[in-house]
Amino acid sequence: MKLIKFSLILICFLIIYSCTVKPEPIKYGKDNCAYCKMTISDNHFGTELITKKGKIYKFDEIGCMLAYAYEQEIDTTKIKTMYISDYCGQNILHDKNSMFFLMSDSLKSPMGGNIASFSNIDSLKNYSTKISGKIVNWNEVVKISIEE
Amino acid sequence: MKSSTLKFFNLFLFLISFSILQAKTIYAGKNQKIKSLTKAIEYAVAGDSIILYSGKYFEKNIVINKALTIIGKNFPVIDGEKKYEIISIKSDNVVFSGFKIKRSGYATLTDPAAIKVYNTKNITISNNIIDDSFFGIYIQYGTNCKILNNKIYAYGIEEQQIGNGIHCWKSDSLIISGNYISGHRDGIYFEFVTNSVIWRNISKKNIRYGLHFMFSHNDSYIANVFENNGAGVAVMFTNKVKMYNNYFLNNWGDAAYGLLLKEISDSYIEANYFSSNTIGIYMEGVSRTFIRKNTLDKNGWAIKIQASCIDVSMNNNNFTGNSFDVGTNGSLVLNNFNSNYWDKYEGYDLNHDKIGDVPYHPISLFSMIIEKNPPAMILFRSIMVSLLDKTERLIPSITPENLKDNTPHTRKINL
Repeated sequence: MKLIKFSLILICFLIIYSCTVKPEPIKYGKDNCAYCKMTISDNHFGTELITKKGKIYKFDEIGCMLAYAYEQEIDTTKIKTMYISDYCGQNILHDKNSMFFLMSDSLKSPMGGNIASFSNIDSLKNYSTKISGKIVNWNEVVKISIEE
Repeated sequence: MKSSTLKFFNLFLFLISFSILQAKTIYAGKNQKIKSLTKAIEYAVAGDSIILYSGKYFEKNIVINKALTIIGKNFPVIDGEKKYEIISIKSDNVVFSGFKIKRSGYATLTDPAAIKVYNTKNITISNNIIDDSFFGIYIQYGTNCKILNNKIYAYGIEEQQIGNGIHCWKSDSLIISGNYISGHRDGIYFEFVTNSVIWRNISKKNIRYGLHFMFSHNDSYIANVFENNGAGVAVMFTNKVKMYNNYFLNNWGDAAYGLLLKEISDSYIEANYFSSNTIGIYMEGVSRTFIRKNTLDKNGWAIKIQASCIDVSMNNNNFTGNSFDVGTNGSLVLNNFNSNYWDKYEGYDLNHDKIGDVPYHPISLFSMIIEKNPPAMILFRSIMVSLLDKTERLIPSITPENLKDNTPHTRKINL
């Protein structure tokens, strides 16, 4: 009886665990951007969108992800989270809410959105002095990307 | 006596004026007075020519800031030791020809190149060999530049560690002709480039695209060969582009295309040859575009056209030996598919006008199923599938009924 209880709990745990959605690492040079269909190749800019059901879409930059989300390719109410690469991090995806954004034409992102994101405010400040960019917040990022 | 003095004086004047007006030629090389290209450029004034003799030169960050003609004799080698940008052209009216440039540096923000052109006009870069560089030839804010007959090799393995062969950004009126590019990320890359011609280049074995084209209006590319590239050729977010007489060959892979078109309008794709690609032409968001007189041979899908395409006219093309002629994702069809030759056409021609009497439906039921459910591919060529396809041809139910060729040719069109 104890064993059955234990195994039931274990199974429940497994089910719950398998439902928590984690970002999947982007395979640069192999994965394609869901919006622009380009091969994702620049590991400074890759992003990921995860729906509430756990489906993962990968993009080559923030601009593509937002265009995909707001041009009603998917239902915006079903989006769970968006993950964005750190411009100076080793191919690690972070939740969009923990990121800081820098806009500058000299970034030359794959689709010309030219927005880099940083998980660390110091590295953002470091880069913004180096390339004369403009620091923006998430709402501004959305506004700029959708207007384009 | 008097007249002879005058004569002498005149001659003297003539010689002086000649030596002032005459641009000089500076010879540089290991056995010359001037040992390096940097020194020669320092010494030269605008309008001069520099000839550099063959040899191996370890020079870095050579800035050409005067209007000079610089010619290498027997391909002098300039080595950047994987650390530096090698040639930076920052003056108008420069000719740079006949060099072998090796091993430019790698950096992500500054994009160093073997030869980089900054904000200038009337530049000619010709007959150079560029070997194992990060970016090959890089033009930013260039106007009226010619890139002719260069050979650009790289040996990239991963995309993010290698730049593009010929990279053009925010430029106008370029001519890119007769170049050979291999092993880079994208062979030729155009972003915000207008009124330019890409003519008779060969772009092979690049890691991503043979040609990559974004936001570049009013350009044409003619008679190029794009072969064995990672994902073929991509033309995106562009108006009024003309693609004539190109070869798109052997682009195999899960997401490989002969030609990927995304958000294109008012364009012409004519007399091209697509052979042995996973998808010959992939179209999404294409409008008002003519696709005529092309040959689509031995592709997995000859054409994949998404429902977002409007007013695409596909006429007088030859479809031969493709596994699927046309694939689509929706039932709305606002495009014209008339007067092509399809080797899978099984209709008849009673009045012998070489036009089939019954329409041809190029979409098979099975290609619709695969679009929604790719693993079903395993059933391809099974009896059940061909039976289903036959019934679907007679009584269309899933396949879009309007996607058809009303006047299919019964003979292969002579192109």
